[in-house]
Amino acid sequence: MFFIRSGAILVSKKVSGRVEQILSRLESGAFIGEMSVFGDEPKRTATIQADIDTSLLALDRESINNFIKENPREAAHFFRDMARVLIRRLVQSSDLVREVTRWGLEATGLDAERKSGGPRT
Amino acid sequence: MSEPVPATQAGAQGGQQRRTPARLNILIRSEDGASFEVQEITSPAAYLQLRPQRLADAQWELAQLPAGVPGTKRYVLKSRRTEDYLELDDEERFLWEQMDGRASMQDIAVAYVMRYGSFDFEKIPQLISKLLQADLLTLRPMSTLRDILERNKRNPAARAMVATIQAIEKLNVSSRRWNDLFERIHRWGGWLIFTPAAVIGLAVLTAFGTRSLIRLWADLGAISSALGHHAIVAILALKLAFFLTVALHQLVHALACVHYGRRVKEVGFIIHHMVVPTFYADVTDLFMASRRARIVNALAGPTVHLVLGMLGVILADKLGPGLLQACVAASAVLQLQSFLICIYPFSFLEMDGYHVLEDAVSMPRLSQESSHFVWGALWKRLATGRGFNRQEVVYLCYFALSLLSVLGFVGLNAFLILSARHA
Repeated sequence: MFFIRSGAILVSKKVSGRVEQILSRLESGAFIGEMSVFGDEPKRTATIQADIDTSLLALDRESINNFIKENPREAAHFFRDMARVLIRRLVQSSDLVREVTRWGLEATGLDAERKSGGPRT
Repeated sequence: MSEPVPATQAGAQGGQQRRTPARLNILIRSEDGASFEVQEITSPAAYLQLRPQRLADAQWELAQLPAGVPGTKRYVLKSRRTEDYLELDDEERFLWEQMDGRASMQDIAVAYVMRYGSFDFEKIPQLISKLLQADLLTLRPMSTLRDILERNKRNPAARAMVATIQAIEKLNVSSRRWNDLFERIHRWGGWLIFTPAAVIGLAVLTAFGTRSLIRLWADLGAISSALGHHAIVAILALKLAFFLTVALHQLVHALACVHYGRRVKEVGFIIHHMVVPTFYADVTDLFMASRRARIVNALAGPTVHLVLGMLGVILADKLGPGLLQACVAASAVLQLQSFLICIYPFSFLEMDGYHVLEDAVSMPRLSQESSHFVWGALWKRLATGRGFNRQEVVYLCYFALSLLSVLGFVGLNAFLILSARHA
């Protein structure tokens, strides 16, 4: 698991060939790779790419376990904040799905609202 | 812990999002994977600007299959990289040939209509999907300028330019509700301009205008001098007058469209090529009409400039010497030049006359392809001494005539400017 100390990274997923869809852009203070620490799924779920010069802080599973043992109160705060961020990311994923669907409808001309003659401005 | 910045900003805007076009952010890696660029694609307009890029020529091969059903041709396309095979019909082979990374989706659709007269546009995304799955194709976004700017996005000047372009693009205004108005204008007398009487009237006007133009030519020195003494006023007046006539040009295109029973899909205002403010009318529905309708439509718009130019020289001829006469005469000359530029097909500009030529020779993207041929394959062809086919002869003729015309136009304007200075 990594924390972004400074800079920004792009989280993307391969669509085809050399083209990837950008899922989000994470900036200083955000974290990535939490699944490698808390999940058992070894498969990579997305690609991470530095958008500008970026420095990261690494946190492995052992360090987290030590943190929980030695500072249980702070660890609880940490996990509560982390859960909030994950919930927001889930909401943003739903918004992204809706946006991609809307993009597809507009691109294919199936956007019923536009076709009915609404102004495009 | 900070929040992730959403990839699509409209996604989290709830009820407000219908006002903004949907956008996708994509990341495109370079061939060697060492670098990447980020592109924002706004649908649907930007989707039409995507440029499908097939693999390099060395990485695929195409062979015709033995004849099956009489009158049909089948091809097999092989990717040498992945060893995948795809079967293509004749139309798909044609579309594959268009996917050279220079033609946009829109260009390909136009080429498809001109070649096969078919509006089965579903075939294009279906083929693209098939080719993408076989890793035979990538979709290159937007313009070459955008490509260059994205590659240099760390440069502050490039970032400033991107911001400027985005700001200019936001100035686009359009509406799809104008068709009814054009139909009413057509019904209330607009149809008159598409009658033989209007053509006769235009011929008479042109004859009188030409006589006045010849008479005004003798006063060229006085007119140039008056313009030179009030240069700023003259430039502003000419620009404003010309801007208004562009709107009239588009109005006549729209009337031609409804005259042939087709629908004006959209009317708007854009910054053309990110520099020139202009109006536009989307009359692509004319593709459903006859070739004659398309030609009449192409000629109708520029005719506005001819009429205004001729009226202008007649009026200038009647006026006494002074700033007003100079402005009217200069404006008329500008209109006549606009008419020639619009109607003359050999100029590398894709104006009305060019589209008529493109339609006549059934060669979409004639301008781009001829330039590409001259700067690329021509020299290799000359070195090997092989002859030219019909298509290549057309490319050469178009390029040579366009080059000569541009040089002639620049030379004429230089002569006029020097004459004015001398006067």
